Amino acid sequence: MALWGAPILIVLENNHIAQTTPSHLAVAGSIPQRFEAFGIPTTWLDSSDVLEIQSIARDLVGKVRSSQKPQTLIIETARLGTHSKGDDTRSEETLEHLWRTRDPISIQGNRLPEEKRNAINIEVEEAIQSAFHKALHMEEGEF
Amino acid sequence: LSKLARFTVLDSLNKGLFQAMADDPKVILLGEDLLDPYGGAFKVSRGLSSTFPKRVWSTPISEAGITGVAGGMALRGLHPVVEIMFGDFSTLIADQVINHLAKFQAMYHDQVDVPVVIRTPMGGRRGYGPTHSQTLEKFFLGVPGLTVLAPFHLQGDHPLGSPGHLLYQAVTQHNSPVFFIENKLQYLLKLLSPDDLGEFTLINHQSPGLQGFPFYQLSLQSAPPAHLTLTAYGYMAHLAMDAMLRLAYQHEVFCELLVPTQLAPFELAPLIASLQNTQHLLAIEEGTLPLGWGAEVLARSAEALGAGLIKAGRLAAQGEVVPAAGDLEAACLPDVDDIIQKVREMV
Repeated sequence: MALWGAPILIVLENNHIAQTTPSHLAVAGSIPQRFEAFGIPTTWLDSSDVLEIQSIARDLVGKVRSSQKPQTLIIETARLGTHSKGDDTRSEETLEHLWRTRDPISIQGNRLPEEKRNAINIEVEEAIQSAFHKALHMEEGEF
Repeated sequence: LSKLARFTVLDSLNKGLFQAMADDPKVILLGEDLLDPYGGAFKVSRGLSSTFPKRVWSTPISEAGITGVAGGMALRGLHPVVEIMFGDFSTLIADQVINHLAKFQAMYHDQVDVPVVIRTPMGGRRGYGPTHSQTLEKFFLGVPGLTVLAPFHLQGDHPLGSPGHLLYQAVTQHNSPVFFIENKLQYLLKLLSPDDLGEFTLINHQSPGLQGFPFYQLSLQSAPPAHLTLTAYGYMAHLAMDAMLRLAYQHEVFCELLVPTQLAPFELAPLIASLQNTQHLLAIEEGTLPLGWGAEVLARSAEALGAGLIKAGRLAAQGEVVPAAGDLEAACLPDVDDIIQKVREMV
């Protein structure tokens, strides 16, 4: 990508776990150096805060556009639930801690006045219910 | 036309690419060691980088990467052609082709076109050993969304010749992924002119399922009705034609030969029509015998004809690793003598 000047921002969200395998059992060496070895600069960020991520990502998108070369943004993050269905082998305490500290919706929601936050929650819930209702009542040919 | 008659399959394919690049500015070539003066390992791409320097990309040795990039180019409106240096390396592109390129149209609800052509030479008889001599296309046959083509060494009535025209059609007129199977010894074959065809009568069958790609039928002029239908594609079709002549002259066994250029989707109507007359079938391929192309040809023929198919056989490579030593390799791969012997056992 660097060789051919592909203008692309690669976002690597490191949630430190595969379906069930923690990354320390599966990754040796350095993740940033994997990109740097191919001539792709990396930026590292430990955050679940959309505003913080947005600010850094915007700068990087600008760099990609002006240089016409790739960049990588590595975001340390957390997986808050299962990969698929009943496959999360982590403890209740671990998950509860992650929800309390790493849930991006809570982090952003806590910045809003309660009234606005409630209005958004209602709007989202209604949109989901409406889509659910519509899907349930579709004829087969409309899928 | 006399000049055309000296063309080889290699020349024809090279001209097909030239013409496609000249007529369609969206055609981009990607592959390893494509740049002149080398011009690709088997020279199908020779001269193209000199004429179209910005549209021929010599790539790193990363077949999956090249194929993935081509998929992206095609989604965004280009017409990429990928050269995989040896067919053996097509194992490395299987994920990109099967799980991505061939699925994009269905997964995006036919809102995208994926006009990618991936060309590669298969086949042995060059002493290249186990990992550079295989015929692996059977692993790509039957993948939904993937068309697999193999050229036939016919001059035909097209200025590019049949192989070059087939490639030209695939590159410029097809909007979904094509795997284009060439063969190392087939490259050297002279295109068959009407004079070269001599005692053969040629029919080009067409049917809607063939997407415009030819299905040839070769029979012997002034011969009695054929005893047996041969079917083969690519270089094996050339060997089958030799066997047909020797069977007729030396053994008075008469065959007709059906040569598909579209291996997948699998469309066999012209073969079935021939079998309704001969009731005897021999499918010939250079890939390994177990679970191969010939097995599917026989299954489909049996489904179509039932008791109308009296005898059916397959000839293919032995189910072993292709040896490097010349005599062992020759014993592993089917040749003209093997075809003659097998036919004589069957009729």
